[in-house]
Amino acid sequence: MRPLLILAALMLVLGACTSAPAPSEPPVQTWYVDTVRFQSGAHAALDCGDCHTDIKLEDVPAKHPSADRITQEARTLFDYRACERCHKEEYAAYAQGVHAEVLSGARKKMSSYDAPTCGHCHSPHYGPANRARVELFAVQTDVCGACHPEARETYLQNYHGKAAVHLGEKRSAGCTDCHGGHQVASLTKTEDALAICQRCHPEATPNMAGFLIHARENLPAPDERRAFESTLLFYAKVFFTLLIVGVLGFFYAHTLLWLIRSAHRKMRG
Amino acid sequence: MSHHVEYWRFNLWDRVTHLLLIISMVGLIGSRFPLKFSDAIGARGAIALMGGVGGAGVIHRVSAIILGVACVMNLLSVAYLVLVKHKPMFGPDSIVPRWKDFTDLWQHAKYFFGRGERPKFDRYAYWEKFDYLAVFWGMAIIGGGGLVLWFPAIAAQFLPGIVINLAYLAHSDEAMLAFGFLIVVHLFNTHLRPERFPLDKVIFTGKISADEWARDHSLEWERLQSKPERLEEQRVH
Repeated sequence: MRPLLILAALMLVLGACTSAPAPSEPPVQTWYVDTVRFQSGAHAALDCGDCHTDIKLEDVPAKHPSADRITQEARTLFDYRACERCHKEEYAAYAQGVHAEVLSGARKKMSSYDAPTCGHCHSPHYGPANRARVELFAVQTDVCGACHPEARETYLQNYHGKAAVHLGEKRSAGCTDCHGGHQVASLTKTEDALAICQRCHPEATPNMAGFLIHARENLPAPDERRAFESTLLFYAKVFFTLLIVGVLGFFYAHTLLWLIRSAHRKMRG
Repeated sequence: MSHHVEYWRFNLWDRVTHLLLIISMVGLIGSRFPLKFSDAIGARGAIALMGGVGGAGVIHRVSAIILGVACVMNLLSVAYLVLVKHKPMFGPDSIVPRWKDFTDLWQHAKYFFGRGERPKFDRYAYWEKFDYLAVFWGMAIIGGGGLVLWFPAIAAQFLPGIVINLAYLAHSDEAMLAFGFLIVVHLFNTHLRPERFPLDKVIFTGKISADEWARDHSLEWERLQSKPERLEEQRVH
């Protein structure tokens, strides 16, 4: 009976550890603009036409609605060059990042999602200004995690994510602290990562930058680039899981049987 | 023989070592549980009570140093017994496992199912030996991993970065094993089982009554009956 129970527990534990997060569908944005919420956003002082330069109020009855546009996601249709007029630095930085590279076709897509532009991360209608750093940790984790669910999951298993998102430690690091917000970098090269690590850990060495922040110990070799390390981590996880289940399974059974025997003896006097 | 007669089982040095072990375990586990389960209800409050993740880290490292002190104290105690008192490394009084421990386990298991008598134990029963020796395995894995996490830059001078990942995994999983063992198995075996409930004071006072000695460590007790001068030496006056 006990071997069966241990096996069942082991399968449960391994199953829980290895189940990958279900890839979520890209959120379909609504075309409706809540003007009350808009008033509390960062762009509350702007008029519609300040950004929607292609829509003239006097044209509206003629231009709206257009049936083929309404079936598409609203945020993919907006001309984000409008953002550049006020946010020049951010726009220039975005053009240097990997998201822009993917958009231009110079880089292979990592996921099934389209390359994000301004509106994929920012809500121009409702996004508030001047958010606290700790609040941004949680927002970023969800925004980036929508397209990078593995990165989100592994970040939240790491000290940085636990401290920043769960425990509200503002000295910890969020997604954009390492990868950049506008000039997004994937940091797959150790020398790129090292420079980033050293901003908070000046003592960091090239080897230390080899530490996998987004470690997938739960899946065998998910990351081709570092297949050996990922496989090593996976088998280390299997080893410790077997050790924990084996030792605790044995001694918990020992304890339970002893308790029953002792209680039985005590009651019989 | 009266049960009021008491004998020394643990000296002050070993009792202080055990006390330091308890203090360090409370500090180590208390400061890291809210981090490991950081999304659990109350984790944020517990960390805030300790002065944030930084404060919890200080408590964790101070507790680790206390554990290190306890470990060194025990190694000194063992060295004293072996080198100065010339106690044998192997034999009935030793904590080193021997074949009898395995037969005792088998016999004990049969007793659990009502298929035989409770085995007679010597100075250290098999589960007491496991309790004690498992700490060394845990210290090597948890302590070694903890040092890598404490000084990652130094570790990374001669080890690849993946070792930090392995240290993270080993430190955390092994600590969960230690916690799961202590809170259920150790507490039950030594304190909570009906014969001992609610607390076995011997590790705190150092004294064991003649009755308990004869019942829990019968072989050692019986052996000493033929050496009255040794027994008298250990009697509490």
